[in-house]
Amino acid sequence: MAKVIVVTSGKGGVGKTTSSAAIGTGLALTGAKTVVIDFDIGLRNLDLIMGCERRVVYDLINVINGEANLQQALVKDKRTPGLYILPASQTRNKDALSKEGVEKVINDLKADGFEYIICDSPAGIEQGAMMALYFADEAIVTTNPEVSSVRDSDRITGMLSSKSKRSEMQLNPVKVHLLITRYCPERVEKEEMLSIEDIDDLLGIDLLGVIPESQDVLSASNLGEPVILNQDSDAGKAYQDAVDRLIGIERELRFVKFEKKGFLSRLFGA
Amino acid sequence: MTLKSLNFPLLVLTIESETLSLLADELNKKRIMAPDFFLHAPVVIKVINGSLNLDFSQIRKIVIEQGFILVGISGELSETQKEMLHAEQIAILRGSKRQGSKEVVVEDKPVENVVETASFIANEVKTKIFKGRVRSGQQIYAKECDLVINGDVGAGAEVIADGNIHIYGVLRGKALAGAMGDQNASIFCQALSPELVSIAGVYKLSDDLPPEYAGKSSMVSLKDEQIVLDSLGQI
Repeated sequence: MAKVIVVTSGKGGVGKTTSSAAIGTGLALTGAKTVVIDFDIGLRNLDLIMGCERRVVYDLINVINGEANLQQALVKDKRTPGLYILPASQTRNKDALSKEGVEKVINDLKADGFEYIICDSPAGIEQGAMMALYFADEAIVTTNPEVSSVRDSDRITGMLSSKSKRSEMQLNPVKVHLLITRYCPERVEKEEMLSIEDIDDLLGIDLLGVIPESQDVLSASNLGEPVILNQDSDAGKAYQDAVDRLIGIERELRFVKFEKKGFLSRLFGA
Repeated sequence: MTLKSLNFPLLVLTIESETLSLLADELNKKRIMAPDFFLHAPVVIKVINGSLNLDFSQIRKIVIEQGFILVGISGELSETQKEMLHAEQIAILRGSKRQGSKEVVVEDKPVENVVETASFIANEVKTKIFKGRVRSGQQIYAKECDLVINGDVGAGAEVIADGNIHIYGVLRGKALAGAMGDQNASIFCQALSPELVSIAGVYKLSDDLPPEYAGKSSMVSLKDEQIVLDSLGQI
């Protein structure tokens, strides 16, 4: 049964697209046919993060408007088999997204044998974000450990329980997962940053994963290579754990405790 | 089709002076507290002095400008005032006997217009129960009854009841009890860190609340027109 998963946050710049790319790649690596749809019409980024920007011909809006068919618009990932990207339009705005149009695209993708349909939501709570979450079966709410991001996540979680198709049809509610990104245990220790427990108090959402703050994320974005492919990096490993939990494998939380570096490890740079 | 007489809860605003800007101020204050809740809310203007020279068309204009809908005028009206109302095609409402005893005019010195509420007769005692967390941007309203929230009320969320509000969780958002003017309404919560608490239109922001109750299980009620706090289970 195909699953539609929205990656959302309310607030901008917290790592939705980075997470969509990493989780989409991770799911495809399990052998499941996966597509990541960029809903950020007018500000498309996903193609850059996934390194396929030079191969974009048609986009989501072309498909919705019937100017191209789905097969023409889907961009096949070069590195990961079974992974596809449906890019956003850079020249239109978010009002071009209609509920009927998006529904048809999602149904066509399901009919095409896609097992995971990842919707990379734009920031905000307007049309683009609403369309990205409307058809979701599950949601990954991405949050940074700071108050404004947490509050926006609370708002978008409320939207998931009231504005989604599942809520309107009174089906089982959208299953919401929390993904904390840019977590820095050292700063939590110094009480400069909200801790996992603080965020849990404020949001009360099941934790899917905690991605540590890492230089590797930025380098991966600039290279156009999802960070999960870098398994030498803590962030890459943490995304892999999150993907494993998403498909039901239990994983201990890693990279969430601050460990002071001892003399020897400083000396040898371990 | 049947025509029958029913009771409805209505906001009643008492006018004691000819200065209509006070009316606008009072409505505006009410509206700011819960903009969505009071948008297009029906309101009755009560005139207590028949000798006031009031411009009723102006009153109607102010009420509409503030986003409310004028249902009509009640109170001790002189013949001249009644004629003016007929000319303006504004309804004159006669208060029922039952409501008279419950009316309270709040004497807030600088403001001469006071919001009060006609009593309503609840057909049955109900409680609205909300299971789960109320999230930022959500608004829960319990009309003519108490509200029980089994979960936290997040920052940016609003819980409103015409009766009492009970929160089995942390109150971080706004809670407005006695929204239709019941001064005996109270708010109970397991941990108090609200943005705003209000009883019957009297409100306090978090900065104005005594700090010793922050994060504690508390009861918020109204005493002598003032918001007072007590610890739960220690009265």
